[in-house]
Amino acid sequence: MVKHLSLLLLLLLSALSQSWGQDDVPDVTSTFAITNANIIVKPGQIIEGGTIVIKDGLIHQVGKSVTIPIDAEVIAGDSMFVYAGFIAAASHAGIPSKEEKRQGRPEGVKVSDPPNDVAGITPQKSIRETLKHNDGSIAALRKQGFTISHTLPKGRMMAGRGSIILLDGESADDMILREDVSLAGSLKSAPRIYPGTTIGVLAKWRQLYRQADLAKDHEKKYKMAPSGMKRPSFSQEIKSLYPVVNQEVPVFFSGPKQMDLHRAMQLQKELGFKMVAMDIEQGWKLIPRLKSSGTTAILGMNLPKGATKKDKKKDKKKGDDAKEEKGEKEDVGDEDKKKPEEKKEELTEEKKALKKRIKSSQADYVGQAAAFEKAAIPFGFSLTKVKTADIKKNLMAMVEAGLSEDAALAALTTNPAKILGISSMAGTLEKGKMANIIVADTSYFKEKVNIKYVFVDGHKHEMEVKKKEKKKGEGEATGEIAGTWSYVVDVPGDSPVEGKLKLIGADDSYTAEITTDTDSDMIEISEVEVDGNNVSFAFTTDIDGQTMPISMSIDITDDEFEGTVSIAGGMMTAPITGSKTSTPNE
Amino acid sequence: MNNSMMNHKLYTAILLLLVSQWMMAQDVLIKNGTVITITDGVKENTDVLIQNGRIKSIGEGLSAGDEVRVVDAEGMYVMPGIIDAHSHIGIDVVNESTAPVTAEVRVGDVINPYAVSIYRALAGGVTTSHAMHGSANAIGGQCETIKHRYGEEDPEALKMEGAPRTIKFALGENPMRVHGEGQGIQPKTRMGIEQVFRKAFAEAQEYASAWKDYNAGKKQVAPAYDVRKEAVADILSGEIIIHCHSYRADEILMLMDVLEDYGVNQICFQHVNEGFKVAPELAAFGASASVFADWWAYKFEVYYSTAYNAAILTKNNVVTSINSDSGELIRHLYHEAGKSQKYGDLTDNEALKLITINPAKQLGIDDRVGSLEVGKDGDVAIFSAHPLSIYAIPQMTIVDGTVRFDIQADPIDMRLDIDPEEEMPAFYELDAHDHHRCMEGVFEELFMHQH
Repeated sequence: MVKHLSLLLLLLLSALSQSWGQDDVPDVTSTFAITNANIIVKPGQIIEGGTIVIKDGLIHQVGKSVTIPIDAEVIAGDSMFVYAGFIAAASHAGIPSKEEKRQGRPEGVKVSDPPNDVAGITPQKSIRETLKHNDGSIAALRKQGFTISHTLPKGRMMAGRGSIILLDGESADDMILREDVSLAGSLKSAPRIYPGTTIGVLAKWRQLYRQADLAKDHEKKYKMAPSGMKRPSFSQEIKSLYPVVNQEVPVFFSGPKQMDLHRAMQLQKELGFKMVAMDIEQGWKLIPRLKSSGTTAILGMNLPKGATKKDKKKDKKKGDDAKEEKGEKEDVGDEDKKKPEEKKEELTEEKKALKKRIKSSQADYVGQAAAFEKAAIPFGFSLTKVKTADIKKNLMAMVEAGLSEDAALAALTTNPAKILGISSMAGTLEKGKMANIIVADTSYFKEKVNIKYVFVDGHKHEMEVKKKEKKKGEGEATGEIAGTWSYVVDVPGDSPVEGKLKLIGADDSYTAEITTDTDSDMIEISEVEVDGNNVSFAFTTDIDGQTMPISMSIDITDDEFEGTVSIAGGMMTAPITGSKTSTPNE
Repeated sequence: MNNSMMNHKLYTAILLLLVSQWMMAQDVLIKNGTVITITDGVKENTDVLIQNGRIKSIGEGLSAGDEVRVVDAEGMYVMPGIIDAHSHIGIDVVNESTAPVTAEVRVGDVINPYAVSIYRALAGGVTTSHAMHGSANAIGGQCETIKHRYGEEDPEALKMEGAPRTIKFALGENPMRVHGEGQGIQPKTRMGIEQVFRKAFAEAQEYASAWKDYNAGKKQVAPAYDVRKEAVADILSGEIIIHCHSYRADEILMLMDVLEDYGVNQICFQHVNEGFKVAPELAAFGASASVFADWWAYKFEVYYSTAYNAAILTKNNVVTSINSDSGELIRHLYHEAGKSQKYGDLTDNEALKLITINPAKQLGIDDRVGSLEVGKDGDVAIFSAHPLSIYAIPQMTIVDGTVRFDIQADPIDMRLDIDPEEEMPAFYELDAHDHHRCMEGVFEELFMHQH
């Protein structure tokens, strides 16, 4: 009976939340006026004590002396800051994470010549097929102030076509602002099938591009004079590359590290497609080349682990804990002022020098955006790799490293609008533009800012202002650890390795079982160390008669994790990511 | 500006200054060394002047202007920069092991100028190496001849401009295991490997002739573009030199037969441990050989081997080199060449040719490097003693007139790119790039997969 009761309660609750969900209440009016606010019309242009009137989804009036329509819902904007809604120049917003997950080598596929879709070649794919209006990522980004996203499909070398979407809507149709505006390209190889490495991917790009170029010609000739000519018959993949070959649709090419970006730029130079370089994390040394080639740049919003202040604090905490447990004495960084000097001196000169170089490298990554600003290259931001919760933190780290607030704001508003060709409808708070608006209780660049309202297409979303969160212990688990997780090890320059990881147990006592998709053998791991949201364990496996030690360390956030796999004591390391496929009860 | 940022800026500035001084292109005058020219004898008390990256003059009592950096080489040995005809350093991918023929892939696409193994090679006097695709496939990918211009950050700047194109072939167990055993496809046997070559050549011939017809206006519609067949057709037309991973004599003869049928004559056999059995045949074909000094028995087909291989091949007039195939061995190729004197009594010059002019010939770059001659590239290695002496220590390595290694200015940490997420502490003895081998790239071998 108790069981039934709780079930009933659950049903009731979900029904309640559905009907009372804030976003689902129809607006009483489609006219709003935000009065007496600091209106940042666009980067560098502020109206103090201004009023902005929204009517039927558009910005109706902006200025100091504006008549407020009688039917307007008035939001007293005293001391509030109003910005144009943010635009993600590239993201996966609205694409459920379970869709298009990478899979292991599929059975019955010719390894040397797999079907295009299996090999990661789906340029014909539009996001309309996978876009979910109620995907959690949409509300999460809106909460951060984003109103428009250039959403690209997830996948490998040619994942499909991107569309510009509004981060609000009742259906995919409702959300799509401009469809199929880009091709998502990368150097990502297929899992143990051709093209299985970066060199294979680059060769395949050349193959498909030139094939499409010739096919296009063939079709054109046939259209003009078919008599006596072989009928053109090409795959949808090849046909969908015609606009790319014709340079009508740009390739948004993912090039995070300097070498990726270099390789993408070389390929572009060779084949001649229109390119926007995106996800750039280590691009500062290529600034002169980006500039001279006029390549549009979209910087990755993710930063290296340990590079931002909060990360450092976390590291410090971890370091302290480790010391207490293991009695180790390690340097934990600049913040560690309370420690007696003699402890610091125990770091060898060599370690100090190495640490200095790591810190210097981190500073380069954090300073990338400032370097682009200094070089006068306008850029937008890509959210494909950043955790949504880190967006603000990372932006502030970039600002602290020298990026001006105006340039930061431009990278979130006017620049992406220009890159995406929607400047006439979005990116600023000018009259006639789409009413995509952020209302914050203070300057967005203050650490303790709260976004109170986000308007998308004139539709008001009131944000729950964070009540003081219970101080969670730093590093406390944010998700349930136990369950079955699927993982992908991204082997540098090689095909990814995939499999399943089962974590069994509760509280602080866990065991694990791990398998790969290519091997049925399961390895049992009896000791799993859990420290907050960090899970680490080690095991050995027999490879060609040699015992190979492998260790993994992963950080779990809700239903996702990321971390590092280390083989043979660090001889080789590779990033690992994973997501939960089932909880123990399922 | 806070303190740590200031530190960072200062550090970057100092590093930049160091790097720029260290690799400043400058004219160099090497004074009073014992100059081993390779092609024109050994000259005592001789100077070598490098101007604008090329050897300007070799002689006694040379002088140059104030701008020229003078290197005192008294008591030292000056030789041409060492060349390694088989290596996998400086590239991010070695094997595209998913198909028996992958002629279309190019390791030149994935050069990594930040590979610290390049600097280590410089510290062993090596100025040029042949960055090769691995040996998983019968026809592997195209290789790249790179100059060890460590310090350059543009991968393109490492490519030796004008060097002929080369491609990796492989015989025997590796392609049989990866494709035959691994995927159950051809080649399962050594016979199958021959057929893979013949089929690829025949298809490329057809392909090339179809394009010829189209370009001559005989066909309305272009043939289906095939990037793989394009590359194989370039082998047939003599544009690409074959470098073939090989061990057994019977297979070596087989490949020469196949090449003869298709009129291909540019080939260097790599490893070629049983080369001594077919040395006259190799010489008659005009094939060259790139061997290990004394490395074998690491798999079944490599048991029948001898340390006399290099000497026997040399005495039979086969252009022979000694290679490293390793990020570690590349640092002491001069020792490896020295072994050919213990086994086979080669003269000093014959031994040093194995790591200079001969590999240069095998790569088709002997007009540019491999000996100290006026007009050639300013690639020089300076040793404390005769390079074939076990006591020799490399002192300075110059590439195109730029000092890229100087034992007097050799900081502990020479990495150019630091992983910002690197864990502390870090030891680099086991740098993954050093362990690139022919069969690298099948990660599952390292990861829970058993053959």
